[in-house]
Amino acid sequence: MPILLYRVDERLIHGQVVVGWGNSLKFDRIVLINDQVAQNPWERDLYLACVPPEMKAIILPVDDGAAKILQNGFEGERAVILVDSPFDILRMVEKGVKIDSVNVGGVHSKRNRVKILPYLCLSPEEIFAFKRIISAGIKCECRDVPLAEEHDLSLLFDKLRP
Amino acid sequence: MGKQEGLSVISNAGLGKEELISALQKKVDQETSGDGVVIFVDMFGTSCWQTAKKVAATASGSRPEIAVITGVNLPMLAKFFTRRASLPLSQLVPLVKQEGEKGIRTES
Repeated sequence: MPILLYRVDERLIHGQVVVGWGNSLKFDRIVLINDQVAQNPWERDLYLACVPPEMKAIILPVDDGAAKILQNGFEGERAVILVDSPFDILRMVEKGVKIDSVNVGGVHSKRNRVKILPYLCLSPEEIFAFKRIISAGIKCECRDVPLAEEHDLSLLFDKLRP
Repeated sequence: MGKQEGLSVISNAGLGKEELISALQKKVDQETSGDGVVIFVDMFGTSCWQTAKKVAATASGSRPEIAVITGVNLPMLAKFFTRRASLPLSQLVPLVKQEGEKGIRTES
């Protein structure tokens, strides 16, 4: 079973993911990939507390997460990958992880942000990173919850004036 | 019950993770009237709950004690507002939780 979903969502594990995407994709494994969370026991516990008992979850730094995906470490599981920024998607791609499409959930950049969608406000650096992901042939599909309208991020970028 | 003092309401709508933390922190810092703060959240495990936990974890020293209660409903709030003046946080919180649970009934 390939990875069911790669999602960029700054809130990582939360209601939209567990309830919304959980019911839609029926995944049983959450893979949270984030260097800061992996290093911080308090934050690890906070996110793990949000995982329902019927799901398994693992929290890994980016390098270890990419390595585990490359080793088919989630074979036999219905796994979703969660990262909080496009930068970590790029890091995984640079490590050789093959990704067909990325689901873009909530990102609210703090500075210099451009509002793309109600749940998507990106900085120039994040826009640049997403453009690199798109030019690597990876589809970026914006959808916060499964039943929401799907937006192709490259088309949304085309509408932005430079 | 009428208008209550020492009550703040905050929505996560349109706020990023860090913005929500600082908005909640600001509200908590403004509440200086009692010996503690109770943060009511709708659902356990959500980003609002995570935010409340993060802000609660900053409580220390000069900051007031902070409790987080999930699954907020009206019976809980009614109990909270009628008893908060007479009970310390350590007794108020379990009482409010119990009231919330008692408030969920099915009739058939």
